[in-house]
Amino acid sequence: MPGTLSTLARRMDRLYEFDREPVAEARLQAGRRFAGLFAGEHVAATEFVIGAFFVLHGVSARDLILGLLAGNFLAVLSWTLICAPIAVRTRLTLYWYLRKIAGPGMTLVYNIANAFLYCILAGAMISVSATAVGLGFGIRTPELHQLMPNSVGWVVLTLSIGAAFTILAILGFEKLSKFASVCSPWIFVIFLAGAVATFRPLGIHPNLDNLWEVLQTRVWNGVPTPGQEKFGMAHVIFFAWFCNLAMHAGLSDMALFRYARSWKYGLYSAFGMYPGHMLAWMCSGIMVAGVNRQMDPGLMAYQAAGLAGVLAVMLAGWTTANPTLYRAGLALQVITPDWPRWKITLLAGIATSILAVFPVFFLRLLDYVAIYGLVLMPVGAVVFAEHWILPRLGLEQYRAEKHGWLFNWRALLVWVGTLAVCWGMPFHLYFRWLPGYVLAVAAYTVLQYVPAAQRVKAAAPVSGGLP
Amino acid sequence: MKLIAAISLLSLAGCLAAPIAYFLGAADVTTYKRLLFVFSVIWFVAATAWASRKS
Repeated sequence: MPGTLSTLARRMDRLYEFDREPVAEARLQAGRRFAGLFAGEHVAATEFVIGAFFVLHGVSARDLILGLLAGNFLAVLSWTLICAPIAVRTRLTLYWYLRKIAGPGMTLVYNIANAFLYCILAGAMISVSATAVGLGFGIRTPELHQLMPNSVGWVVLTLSIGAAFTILAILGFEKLSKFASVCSPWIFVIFLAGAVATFRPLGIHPNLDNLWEVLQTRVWNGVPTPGQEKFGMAHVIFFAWFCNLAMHAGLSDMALFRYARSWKYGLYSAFGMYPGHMLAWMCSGIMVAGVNRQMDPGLMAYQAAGLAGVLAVMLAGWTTANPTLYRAGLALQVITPDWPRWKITLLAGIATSILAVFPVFFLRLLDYVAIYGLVLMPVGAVVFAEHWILPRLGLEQYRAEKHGWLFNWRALLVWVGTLAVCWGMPFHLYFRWLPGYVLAVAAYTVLQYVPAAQRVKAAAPVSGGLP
Repeated sequence: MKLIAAISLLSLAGCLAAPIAYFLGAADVTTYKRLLFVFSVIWFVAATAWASRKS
């Protein structure tokens, strides 16, 4: 088994070989590039669903606005104070830095877990696109309580869209990524257009004198839809904060910030958070109010923006699913090294399309986003402790690399143990990651400190012993 | 290049102007949705050309 794992880990190293070395000074990027990247990345199909769910969960207008301001600010701080400083100091991706800390075996497990979670996310995005395409064929979107497919039509539709996305990804991932960058600003504008157009059916006067009153009574009126849990400001703050947990506290975005000239570039994440995770969420909330709170992104966008809206939902789903298929394919390539790229993308596409059939993933998207971040968070905590705390305690860093370990068992124990503790925490899923993160940092530090102290004690001469 | 960039940006502005016109009562819902769609098509044609020339 260890032999197999180390073979797999070697294959994975070869795949990521191109970014093994720290980024050179000459390749560092200007701040505006980060602003553009964040602005483009955080307006996706998920935004159509998340913003609408806040309405369904009965968030009040005041709680939503204050919650999103605060939660997104905390997310920006997490990028700026946790992720960017480590990335700028090491100039490495999380993959290579984690390999030094936890060993190639753990990196492999992390990557496969990440790919699996990404496949589910891509599946959810295919489902969201299906709600738009289904309108044209009269196929009904599953309702909130339907966690399994509701009709043969839905199954055929999601599988067909999944197949189309997969074929497009096989034909040319890079060209499609460039096209996705063309889509991003337009999708954002469609969010705004849809919200503004919904003002009229909601009864907002052209001079906006009753805007706040309508938003409080007809959009975020504080009353949850039957069957949905009531959310308050704390839920909104925490959701906005952990929505990209794997990227900031989980350190995935080291891949991005290793190109930053300064850790302060983390602040550019605000260009993604406030337009995408505040304005776009608010716009989708307004749009869902325009369709009597029906969780049907396709219908919602069609009502608000016509064919352009339908196109926006489709393209938003596709632009999210496309890079996800690529990433999942990259992880799968470790297990199937002799397969050509098209075959691996096909495999990832089939898995994603099958997942897309089940509406549970997009109808429980908020919970899924929480679980996704929670699962990967302890790895970021381990890296944080190793990078900042161990040197301050005089403890040796990068022992996995120095001793050639396949696994740093302490890191693995912290990962699994933190998840087990978080699972049993007696409060809402959204609030578990923060104590979990603190626990993971503390546990890893203690697990490194205790054996180091014992080694020092064992090496020290015993008083009263031999002269 | 500058012309294509200008067309792209204007079409995006058009996408925003259409719903505002509808909200203010200057256009009916059908006109608004048609305008939005037309401006969107112009955006995709112009912005794709702009992006490919830039790269």
